[in-house]
Amino acid sequence: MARKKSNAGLWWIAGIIVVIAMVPREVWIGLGVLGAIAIAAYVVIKWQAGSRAASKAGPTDQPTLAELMSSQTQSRGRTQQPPPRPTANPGRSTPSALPAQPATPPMPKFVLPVDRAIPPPPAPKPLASDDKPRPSSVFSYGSGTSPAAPTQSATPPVPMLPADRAIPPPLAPKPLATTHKPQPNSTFSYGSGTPPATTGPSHTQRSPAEPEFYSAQMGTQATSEPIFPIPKPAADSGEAHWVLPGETVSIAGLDLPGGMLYVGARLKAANGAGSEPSLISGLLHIAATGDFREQHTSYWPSYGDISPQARRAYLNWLAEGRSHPDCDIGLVFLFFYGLERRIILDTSKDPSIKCEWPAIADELRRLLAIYGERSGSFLRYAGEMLNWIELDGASANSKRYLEPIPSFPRSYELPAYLKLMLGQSSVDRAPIPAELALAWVRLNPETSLRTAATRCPEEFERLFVQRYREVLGRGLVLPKNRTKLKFVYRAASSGFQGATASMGFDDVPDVTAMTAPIRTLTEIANQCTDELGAFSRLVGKDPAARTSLDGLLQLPATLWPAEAQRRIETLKSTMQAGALTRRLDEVIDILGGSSQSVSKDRVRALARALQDVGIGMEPDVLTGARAPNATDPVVLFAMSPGEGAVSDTDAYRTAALTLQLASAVAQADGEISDQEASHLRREIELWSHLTPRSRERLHAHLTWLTVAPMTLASLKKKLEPLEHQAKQAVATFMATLAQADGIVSPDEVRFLEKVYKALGVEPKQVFSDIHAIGAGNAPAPRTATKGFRLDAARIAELEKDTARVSALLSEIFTEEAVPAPAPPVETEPTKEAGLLGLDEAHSALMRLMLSRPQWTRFELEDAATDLELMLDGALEQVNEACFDAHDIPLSEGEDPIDINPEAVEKIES
Amino acid sequence: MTAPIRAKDRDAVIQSLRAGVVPRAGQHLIQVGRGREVETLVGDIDRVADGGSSFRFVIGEYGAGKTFFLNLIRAVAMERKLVVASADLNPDRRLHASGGQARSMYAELMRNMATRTKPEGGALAGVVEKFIATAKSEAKSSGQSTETIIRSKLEQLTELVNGYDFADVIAAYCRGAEEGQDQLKSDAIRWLRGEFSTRTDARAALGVRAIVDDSSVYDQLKLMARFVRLAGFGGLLVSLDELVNLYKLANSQARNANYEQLLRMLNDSLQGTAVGLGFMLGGTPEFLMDTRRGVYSYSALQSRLAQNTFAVDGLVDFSGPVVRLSALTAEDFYLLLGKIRHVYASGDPERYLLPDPAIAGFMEHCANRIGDSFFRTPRTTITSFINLLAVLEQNPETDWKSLLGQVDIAPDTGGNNELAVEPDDELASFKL
Repeated sequence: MARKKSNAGLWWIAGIIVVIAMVPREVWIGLGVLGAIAIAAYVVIKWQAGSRAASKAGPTDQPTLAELMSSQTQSRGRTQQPPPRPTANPGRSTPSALPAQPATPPMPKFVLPVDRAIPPPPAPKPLASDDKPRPSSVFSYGSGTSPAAPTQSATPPVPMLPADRAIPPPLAPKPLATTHKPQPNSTFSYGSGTPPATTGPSHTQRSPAEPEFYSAQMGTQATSEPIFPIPKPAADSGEAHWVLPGETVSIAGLDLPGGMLYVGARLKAANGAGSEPSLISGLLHIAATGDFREQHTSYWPSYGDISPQARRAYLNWLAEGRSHPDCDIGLVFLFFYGLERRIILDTSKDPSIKCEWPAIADELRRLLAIYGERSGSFLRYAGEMLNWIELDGASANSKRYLEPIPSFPRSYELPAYLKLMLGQSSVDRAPIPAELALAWVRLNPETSLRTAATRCPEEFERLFVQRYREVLGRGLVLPKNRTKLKFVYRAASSGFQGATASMGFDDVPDVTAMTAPIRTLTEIANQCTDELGAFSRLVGKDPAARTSLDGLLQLPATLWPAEAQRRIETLKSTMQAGALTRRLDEVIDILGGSSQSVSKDRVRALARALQDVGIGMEPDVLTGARAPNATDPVVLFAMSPGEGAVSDTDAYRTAALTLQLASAVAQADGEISDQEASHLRREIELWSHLTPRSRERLHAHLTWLTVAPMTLASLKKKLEPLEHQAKQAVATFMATLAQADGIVSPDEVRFLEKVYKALGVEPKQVFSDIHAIGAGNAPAPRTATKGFRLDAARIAELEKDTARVSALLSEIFTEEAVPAPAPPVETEPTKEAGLLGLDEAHSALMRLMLSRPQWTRFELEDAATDLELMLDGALEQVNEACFDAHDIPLSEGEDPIDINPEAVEKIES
Repeated sequence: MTAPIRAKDRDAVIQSLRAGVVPRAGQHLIQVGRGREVETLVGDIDRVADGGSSFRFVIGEYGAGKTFFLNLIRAVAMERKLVVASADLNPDRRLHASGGQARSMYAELMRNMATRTKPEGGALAGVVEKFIATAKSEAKSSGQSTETIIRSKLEQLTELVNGYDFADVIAAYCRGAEEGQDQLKSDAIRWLRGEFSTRTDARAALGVRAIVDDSSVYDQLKLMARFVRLAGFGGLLVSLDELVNLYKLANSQARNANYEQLLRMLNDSLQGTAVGLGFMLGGTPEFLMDTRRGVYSYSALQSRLAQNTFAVDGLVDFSGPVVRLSALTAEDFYLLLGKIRHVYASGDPERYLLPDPAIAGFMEHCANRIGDSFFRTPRTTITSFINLLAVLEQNPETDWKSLLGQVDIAPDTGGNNELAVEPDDELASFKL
């Protein structure tokens, strides 16, 4: 500001010179007087405004002090600026106290002067001076260059300034320091890694062995105490102070709820140089309006540096509850700086502050939820901060992995706290609890989970836990690796000037150095997201579906809510007796869904869900069966546990097809009779080439087919891909089946013909096959078995049968045992009667016939007429008698008629 | 099997088999297996001989041995003193027709009417004369005229359709025989054979007003069955083969009319109204089961042919009207060849021309030549086997092994023609 003024002065001088050259002197004298008055008036007004603001910000502050601080701050700010201007115009400037600091780094490591007993520091410049304020002291920012020559022209005029808050006198240039605390725990060190510096100026009253740089110690050790605590602001002084969480403070007419702010006139930054960036200082001007949605801040903002509008915006945002999502992230950072300071710096001085930590952690999480996504930077810093909070004292418990996991934002690195948990489990060779594994997967920066994991986090969590236990049993046991875990916190606030803090954890390994375990977990997670994919999409489309049956159906059944699970259990228990046939809408009702519309997808989802809980559904919509309508019956059956679908093998398909055909055949006579059904079931059991699970499904399929038979037309297409031989077998089986109930009705035959035609088998074969089965033979296999073989057993059996039938036949054909004709032969030939029991005329004819070996028909007819016989009838009689007696006819042939010599022999004997 | 085989039977069997036809006699010598089936049919014959009735479909595939089986049963029936009338159906011979085909079938049956003494057929005159002779002898002993005795004996026939005319014809025959009018006798036989085609002719020749026409074939058979019983025979067994010809009828009305006749026969036989009449009908599975043209297309018939519901899973029931002959298996065929060898050797094992392994070798040879199904259509194979035996018989020094390779066997494709069916004529297209 002063520089601006001096610049303006230069211009005035130049202007005046020009005007003087042009305008009459009197006029210019008058104008000059007026100008001087105006300048004086401006300065006065400005000073008054500043003092009013300061008094408002801190009611306990005295305006004079505020004024003083303000000017001091301003002067310090100025000193930090590169000083080209002053040198450019040395003539105009008052004797400048600015040391030439060419080597000042833009982000200097800060070195805190830590000595409590600093000699009275040089006081800031008097307030009202319109002169360039001089720095009361000069800091060397660890540059290691030549010391700047401090100007100590000003006297320390302000007695109210506590001595311990005074800025130390110029220090000798100090190399950057490190702490050499041996504690394994959380040494918070400022400075680069350069060798420890020897003490600086002799104003140190501490033991020379102790470094004079600030060291904040974190840890649980009671012995660890801040070594060089920064002087506290006097609570009663009205100086800057921390507004406790939950308290409300009123600034510039705004009530800022929630607390967790540094408020006060001035507060040194953590590095001791400059003002605390997060401090809401009453000394600074606040504009009347300010929109926090605008971009007000640049990198590393500081309340002191931003514009009055920005301050107003900041206050507005604070007043609004620190939650407006569009807020400029720089303002959020401003707030965050305060938290950071509280956690890191203040706690190191006063461990009791830790009781505030949970509130701060909550606040951080809240902010992360709002702003984490908007700013990666904020996400990282706040995340790290949370880690710091959680890690504090974490290593005291070596079984931390068994405890609940605090929530962390997902950032560019796995939260250190998680690493610690994992590392500890690795040390213990203990399986990682599922929850921890889940957190690992979720927070692992390299793992990108699908939308499902974020859109339905609860379901994902439950599913992951289930799958994790399924796959890994008690849990994943991490191998021990060598990389040791170390947590390094890099402060965000410019007040810390990029300082880092680190924590070591003995020999707890950093498991993130290994990729195999996380890969395993990622696979599980991906599997889960895949499973949840449908559900996630459904919820994405219609959030209300989350609790509906539709939603449930998309979920793996193990994730169903308890109510639904219970319904499933009921369903299962009713299925103990066997497959359950219900209408589809009834099934949906049982499961508690509304049955407004049953789409294909819904049915699929239902089947999939049921399959997950070990209930199979027929029709098997999952492998492409047509989805049933709401009123169609479905068959539910208990599936044995096992891997994979059973219904996608060729063997199964063929079997199912056979069954479908069979049911269609059995159906041909109107309904599937019990006998047919039981035949089919027996057949299914005989299909040993199928797995038991396949057979289970086939049984259910059969049950379904009995209630919802298929038409042949719908089967035709399915039959196409079968081999010819298979088709033959199927066809033959069909024929067997049609016989199963013992009746082959024309309907069945007709259907079989259709089946054969559909199968591409010669339809005529239907009859052969049915016939063959009916004749008691299995239809001869038409397979071309090479080589010719006879079945000896069958031959033996046949021989027995043949012997039996031969005996039967020979009994019929050879009736030799009857010696009936004996008497007539023995009777007197003179009696002329009774030959072979014949009457007189026939006996006469017979004797006549016996006399010649051959007769013409004409001769015999005459003879017969003479005997008053009809020849044909007589021959019939004679032969008959001869047959009866000797099993051989007497005559053969029509014309001529031969006399059988054998018969002659027999008769004559 | 040790009993020597009569040369006549042996020759009958060997000659017909060599010619590729089913032997008319001696079938029992080469019957293999089928004990149940034979028993069933023998039971039928006994029932018919007892004045009962029977009706059987013998269903088997081409080459399964239907004809052989029918002939075997026929021989058994004749042995049991039944008169057997047999005929093969063909397009000109049916059970029912309007163009004389049914009468033609009847005539064929009568021509082939066989008794034990006349197994080749033509026994009708003998049967009639036997009846008359018994009547005559009765007349002699009772002193009545032969005609009166005949009339009184045939009294019971007059209640049947055509019964009165039938009695007239028999009386006319008797008259002709007594008076030496051969013309009258042959006219009477012609009438009985159904060879009068017009009533006028019949009236002129015999004085009867009715003839055997297409519509009265079955009634005539019933008359004949009673008549043969009066003549002293056990009954009449009608054996019809090649019923597949009904299935082949193009006109569905004609088919159904024929099936209706079958239904009548079946009903009568099941109800016992036919006396001493048995039917054996040989057909293929298509004939039985084709739902468009087969017996199953005639539902009234189908329902009566239904199989026994309990005859499942290897249980068989032969009491139903359908006897199914399964196709020959390789083992059946092996035994058949063994039997043929036995018959060829006239039943003397000493004279076997081939050892057992040769039969198997022969079958293997057949399998290689015409495929595995050779035993299902055995006609040509059996012919070849007998030829082989003949060569061996005449050249005893020859080794059968060397001959085996030369045996030439042609596949039997007769079955393919048998199933060729002309399409129904009902849907013939026409143009105006």
